[in-house]
Amino acid sequence: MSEAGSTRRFRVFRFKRGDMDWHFDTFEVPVGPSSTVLDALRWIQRKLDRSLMIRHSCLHASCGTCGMQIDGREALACVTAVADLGGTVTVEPLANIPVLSDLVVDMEEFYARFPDEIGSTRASEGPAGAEVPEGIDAYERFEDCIECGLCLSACPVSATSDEYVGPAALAAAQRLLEEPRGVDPAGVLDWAAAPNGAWRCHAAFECTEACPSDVNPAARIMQLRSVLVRGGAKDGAA
Amino acid sequence: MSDRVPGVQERGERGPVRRKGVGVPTSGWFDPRGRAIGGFAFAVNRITGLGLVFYLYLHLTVLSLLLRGEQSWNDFLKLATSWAFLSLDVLLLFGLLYHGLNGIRVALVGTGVVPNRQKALWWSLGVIGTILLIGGALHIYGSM
Amino acid sequence: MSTIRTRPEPTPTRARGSRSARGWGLTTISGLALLVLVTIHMIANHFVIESVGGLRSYHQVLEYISTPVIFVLEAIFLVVVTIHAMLGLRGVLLDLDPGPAAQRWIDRGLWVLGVLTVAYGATLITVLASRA
Repeated sequence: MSEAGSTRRFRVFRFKRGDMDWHFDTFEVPVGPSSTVLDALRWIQRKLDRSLMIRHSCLHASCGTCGMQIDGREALACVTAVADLGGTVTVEPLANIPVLSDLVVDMEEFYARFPDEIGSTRASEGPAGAEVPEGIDAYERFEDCIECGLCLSACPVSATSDEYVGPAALAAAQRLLEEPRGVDPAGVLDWAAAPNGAWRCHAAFECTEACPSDVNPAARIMQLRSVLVRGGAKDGAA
Repeated sequence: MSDRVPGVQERGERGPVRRKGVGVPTSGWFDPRGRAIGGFAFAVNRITGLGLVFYLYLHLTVLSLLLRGEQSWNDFLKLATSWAFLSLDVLLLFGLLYHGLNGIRVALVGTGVVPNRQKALWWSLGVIGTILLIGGALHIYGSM
Repeated sequence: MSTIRTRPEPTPTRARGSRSARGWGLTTISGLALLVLVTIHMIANHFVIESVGGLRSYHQVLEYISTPVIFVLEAIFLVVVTIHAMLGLRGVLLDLDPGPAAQRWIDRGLWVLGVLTVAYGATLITVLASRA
């Protein structure tokens, strides 16, 4: 990994079950011009501290597993270039989700916020007029959301509330309205209209800013609200 | 709400939860680190809103001096026309302009009218607000 | 950027009448009304008279508040600003995830505070108007 011979200091959040409190460990890591934060963390794990717990999978921003806070901003570590960061890089787990260990959070708490109507995987319609890539006979497009949790970490409402369902779940609900495909959206609308649903958003748009996958959750929450407000118009409900 | 992921045992106590801010829960709303325009806008909207609530009751209290007659009000006017007090009025004007103009942005974005223009709205209404603030400040100080 | 359809088909549901939606809607409507009312209030009080800091003297205040149109406008302003302030405070407090009992106390407390605020303000302007 060390091509140019430079090192970077990494301050890494540490917590293990049984610890009284969390702390930061500092590591000097050799980096090259194309090193990513995930490269650095894996190097730390291999060479300096085998107990460092990190989670990753695809290494190319399509699985969402390596989400964390890097210098205070939510990002996927596998595509965050160290060259774009300062002399000391601070790495912390995602905010607003309980930490299991070190940089790994309990994503069960994230998934639990989604309404039941949202399936575990969901195909999506491709953009109108999109051409099938050369050499491919057919393909299936999945939802933009990779369920990385960056939006929930960035949300200022979730900073003080664990009850708010959060941007990912609301964005998924709005996507269900756009493409119901046989699912009755009434249950999802009632879920979204509940006190801990769409009306708790304060339009900070931090979720949209953090999203690595162009989901634009904040705008979807605003669209969801306009549906909720207009939803009773047809049947004349107050 | 979904049931827990099947096959996963209930864990014991939760691990720590990282929050933005400085350890006090509400500080997470106002911590500017790592925030973009929208988060900053929300934080200032909340600060100005709380400030204006405080001002509402301050204003009612001050106006109550009128009940005590002309002399009480004149005594207050001497204080209220000092440079320091007028500066607080300029701060109040900032609060009103920010909260009002950002409120227009929140209303337009939050009702789904222009959900993808929140940054552009912030900057353009910000320019309008800055012009109005400068004009108002000149009027306030200029009357001294 | 992914496409967001701006006019999804509305679905008949009770959702429109949800309490949270009504609260949010009232905050928005009162806020938009305040844009007009605050502008009138500020201009009428501070930008149309020649005095230091644009502050009215004692007699100028009484003359102002005793004008019927002004009295009605200021009364409406008082009610609308109190509604907006109480709803805003409610939003801030509810963000702290109070339990159901605490939420009820918050709602009751803000109702009481709001009514007292309007009552005091209305009394104030009525007494001042009568002294003109």
